[in-house]
Amino acid sequence: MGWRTLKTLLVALFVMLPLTGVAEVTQAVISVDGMSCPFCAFGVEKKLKTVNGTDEVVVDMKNGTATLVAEDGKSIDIAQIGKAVRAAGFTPGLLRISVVGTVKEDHENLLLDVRNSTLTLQLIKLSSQLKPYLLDLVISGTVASFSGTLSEVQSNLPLLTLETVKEIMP
Amino acid sequence: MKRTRQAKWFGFIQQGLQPVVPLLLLTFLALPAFAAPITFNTALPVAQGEGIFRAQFKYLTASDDGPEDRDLTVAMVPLVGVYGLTEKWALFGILPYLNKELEVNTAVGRRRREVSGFGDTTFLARYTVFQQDRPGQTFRIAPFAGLETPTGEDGEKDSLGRLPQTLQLGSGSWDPLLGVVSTWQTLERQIDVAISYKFNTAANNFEFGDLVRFDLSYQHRIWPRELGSGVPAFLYGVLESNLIWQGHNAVDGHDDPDSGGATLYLAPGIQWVTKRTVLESAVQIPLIQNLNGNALENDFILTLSFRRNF
Repeated sequence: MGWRTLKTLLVALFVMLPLTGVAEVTQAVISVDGMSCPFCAFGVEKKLKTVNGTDEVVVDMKNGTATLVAEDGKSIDIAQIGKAVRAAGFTPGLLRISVVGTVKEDHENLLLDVRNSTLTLQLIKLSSQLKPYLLDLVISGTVASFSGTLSEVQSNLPLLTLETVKEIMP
Repeated sequence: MKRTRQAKWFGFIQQGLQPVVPLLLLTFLALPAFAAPITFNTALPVAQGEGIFRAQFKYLTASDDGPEDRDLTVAMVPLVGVYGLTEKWALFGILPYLNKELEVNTAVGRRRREVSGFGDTTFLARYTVFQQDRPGQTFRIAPFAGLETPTGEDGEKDSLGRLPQTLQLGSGSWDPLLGVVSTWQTLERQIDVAISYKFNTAANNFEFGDLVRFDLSYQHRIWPRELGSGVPAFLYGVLESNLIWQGHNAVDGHDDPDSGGATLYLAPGIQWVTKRTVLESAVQIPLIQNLNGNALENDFILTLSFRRNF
């Protein structure tokens, strides 16, 4: 195997790394209403660590949020996040997530299929600039990283108010 | 001669019956302040399936200036376990270890009676009936009900015979209690208010007077002045008050005129709160003691406390 072949292989491996190393719901930031003392934050942190796919939980008292970071190669189970906050004795607020997946069109709705998962999100409140761009992604089948605020988490088709999109690969 | 001696011993024992108020107050003050206030309970939540352990050290002295020159000292270590049954229900168990010592002048000289051991165990259940959460603040109302069970020895004796009921480690009776606590907490401060009633029942021909208390606590975050990111430790300055009223004790069905009354405490304190641990201390100083008859007056109650999330 010559140096050129080896180089090609290494480049291919490098390109593949993000695909295998990036979890699908990679991060979730939940607002925890009512959390106002350090001693109470412990219960929130402990309960959120039981959410499937979660590797780390970082609580921020000042902003009243908890950030869940996914385990390598795993997806955070967003349906469990609100339940975990309630089990800690508090009220879940806004849930912002970062997710990897592909966009598809269904009866004029844009849906986001979360990669390696059965989870599908409906993209809502799309700006006039963002919608054509997402339609391009539909045609090209590009895998991208999306972030936004989630609502109707417990329904079959949760809603994602999209804030940012970043292409990962064609 | 024999009759005179018996009368002296009887008088001594009767004197031992008198320090009723401080003893009972101390017992009741061992309620599981598991989160915010130092001297009473709170409505803040315990996460479902999680627990809190609390160990306190309470030290009380009470005395009088009468001819008996009674001096009562009580050291107490209530061990408190709290468990979050659901997001709304929390269960508490309180087992106190007590050392009680009474010194008194008698016709045959100054005498001391002392007893040590575990006291009565109290079980409590608390339910959050109202909860309003907003970013950085919460308001809750939680009634609670409990039962003090007679696990403490109530037949302790010393060389002078059976100790008077008020010096016993346990009451021997099953005593229910009811109350409600409300908490408003923000990132800067917290206010807790509680009212409770304890129905004392009879045992050993003795019945402690029922107990009513009204508690108020204000906690103010004094450090850090500005909140940073993450979960910083908080240092709170604490000011609490406890208004406690107790009815007359009953001996053989008759009211003891030297028992019961009302006391108002003011309790400044300090509290260091981290994510897993709380260290705190307060001194309850009696501002007003309107006690019946010749009941002993409290000098102060010192509380040192430690709590741990697990």
